Amino acid sequence: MTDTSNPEIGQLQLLGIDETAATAVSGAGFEPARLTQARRLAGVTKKTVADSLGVSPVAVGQWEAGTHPPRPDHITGLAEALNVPAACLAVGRPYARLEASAAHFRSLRRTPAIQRAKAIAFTEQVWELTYALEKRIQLPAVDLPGFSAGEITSGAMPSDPVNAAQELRRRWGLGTGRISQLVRTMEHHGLIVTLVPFAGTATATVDAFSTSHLPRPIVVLTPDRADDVYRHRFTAAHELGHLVLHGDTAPGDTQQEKEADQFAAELLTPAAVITPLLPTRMDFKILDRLSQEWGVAVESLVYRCREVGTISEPAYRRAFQRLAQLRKLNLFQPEPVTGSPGENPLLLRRAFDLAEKNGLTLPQLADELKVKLPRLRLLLGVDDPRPRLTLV
Amino acid sequence: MEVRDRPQDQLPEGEDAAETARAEEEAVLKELEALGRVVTIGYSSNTSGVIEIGWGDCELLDDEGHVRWPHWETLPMTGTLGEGENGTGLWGAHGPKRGPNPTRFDADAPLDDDFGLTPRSPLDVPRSVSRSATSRPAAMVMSRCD
Repeated sequence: MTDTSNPEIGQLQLLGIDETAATAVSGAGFEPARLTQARRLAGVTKKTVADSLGVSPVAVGQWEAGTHPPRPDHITGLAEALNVPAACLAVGRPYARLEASAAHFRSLRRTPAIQRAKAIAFTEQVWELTYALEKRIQLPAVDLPGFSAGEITSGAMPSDPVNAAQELRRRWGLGTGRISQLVRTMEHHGLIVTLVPFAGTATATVDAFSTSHLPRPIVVLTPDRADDVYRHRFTAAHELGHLVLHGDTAPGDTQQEKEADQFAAELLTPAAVITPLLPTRMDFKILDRLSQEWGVAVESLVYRCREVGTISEPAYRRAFQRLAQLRKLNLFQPEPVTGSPGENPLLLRRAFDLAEKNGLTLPQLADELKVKLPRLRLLLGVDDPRPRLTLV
Repeated sequence: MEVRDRPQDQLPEGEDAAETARAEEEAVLKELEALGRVVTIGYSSNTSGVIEIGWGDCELLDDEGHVRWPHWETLPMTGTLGEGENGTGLWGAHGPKRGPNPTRFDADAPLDDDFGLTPRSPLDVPRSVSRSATSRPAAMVMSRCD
C-alpha cells in the first residue's frame, strides 16, 4: 500500500528522510527499470551518472540490468544526481514500459537519441499520471478506431490517408465543416494529449510524437510549435494520423510522414469542401480569410491549391516566395495557441481538479507517483502558485 | 456625371476658387522646395493596425499610381510590440482594433469543458488497465512488483 501521507516530497527535504528511503530501496526493493527511466528523464548517459557517483559506467550498467543492486549510499547519490526522490527507484508501482520503436517522432532524424529516450520516459510518466488519476476519476473511454489495449488492429480503418481522415470524421461525428477545437476533440475521444516543455531547451529537436502502444494513446505536442496555432493544429492532426494509420507498423518511414500529412490536410480541410473555396489564382487575401476560418496555415492552403490543381507548379513556388516576403513585413504573423483554449490540453488537469475536490492533494499524488512537486506540476501543466524569489 | 466642354471664362465661382487655391498651393510648394525638401510619409497597415511607417522622396511613375522611392527611412514605432490582435506582434495600438472574428475557426468553440468527468468508485479498476491486463502488446511491459 502506498503511503500518501508524506507532504515533504518535492519540498524542503529534511535530513535523513531520503537516506531512510534509500535503505528501504536497496537490495530486493530496487527496481532497475526505474533507474533507467529516471536517468533518461534527466537526459544523461550512464557515464555521466557514474562520474557523479565516482563509480564506473559498468557498475551503472549492472544496476540498470539488474545483475547487481546499488548500495544504499549509491541509491542516495543516484537520487541526488537524477533529481528524484530515492523512493522513485523502488519496486511496487504500476509501470508501463514503452520501447523507442513504438513511438512516431515527427522529426526522427533530427531528434538526438538521448532526447528520444527522454521523450519516451516522459511519455511513460504521463501514462503513470493518467493511471493514478484514472483510479479516481472516470476518464472518457478511448474511441480510436481499431485501438484496443495498447494495440491498433489493422483493417479497422481504410489504409489510404484521405479515406481514413474522412472515415474518422464520420465516426467522430465531425461532419464536413471546420474543426473548431481539435485537441479538445481528441481528448473527448479518450486520447491523452500533453503540451509541456519536458525537454527544456532541447524541445525544438524533439518535436511532436505519439504512441498507441500504451493502454491509452498518447500524443505529445511540444511548445516550440505552440507559437503558431495553425501549425500546432496540423501537428496534432498529423499525430492523430499516425495513431489511425500506423499503429501496427514500425515508425521512421518517410512515406508514413507523408501519409500523416495527407491525413492531417484532409481532416482539417476536406478536399470536397475546401476546393470550391480556394482561389483560382494566388490571392492572399482570400487565403488569409480561409486560413482564419478553417484554422490552417496559409502555407497549408497554398499546398492544397497545388494539390487540387487550382495553381501551377511555378505559381506554387512564387507563392511561397511572396509569402516569405510578406512575413518579413509582419503580415501573416502566427497566432499563439494560448488564444485558442480548445487547442490546449485540459483533460488531465480537469481530472486532477475533480480528484482534488474529492480529497486528493498535489503532495499526495506526487508521493504516490514518487516524483517531486515541480515535476508533477510540469506533467499536469499547472504553474507553481507561489511567488518567485529573485535575489538582486 | 455629365461633363461638357466650357471656355475657361465660364467656370462657375466655386470651381474658379479651387483653381486659385491650387495655384497658390503650388506656388508655396515651389518656395518650400527652394528652402528645404518635400518628403512624403508612407505607411502600410491592415485592420489589425499599422505595420510600418516611414518617410522619404517619392516619385510618381505613371497615371496608375505606381511610385518609386529613391530614398526611404523607416520611422520608429512607439506602440508596444505584441499589442496587436491575439498577440500577433503588430503595433495594434496605432490602428483600429478588430473585434472578435465571428468566422474564425474557433469562434463557436465552448469556453470551458469538464469532459463530463465523474469520480470513480475506489473498488473500480481503470478501464484502460483492465483491458491491457488480458492482452499485453510487445512494446509494453506492465510491472507491479510488490
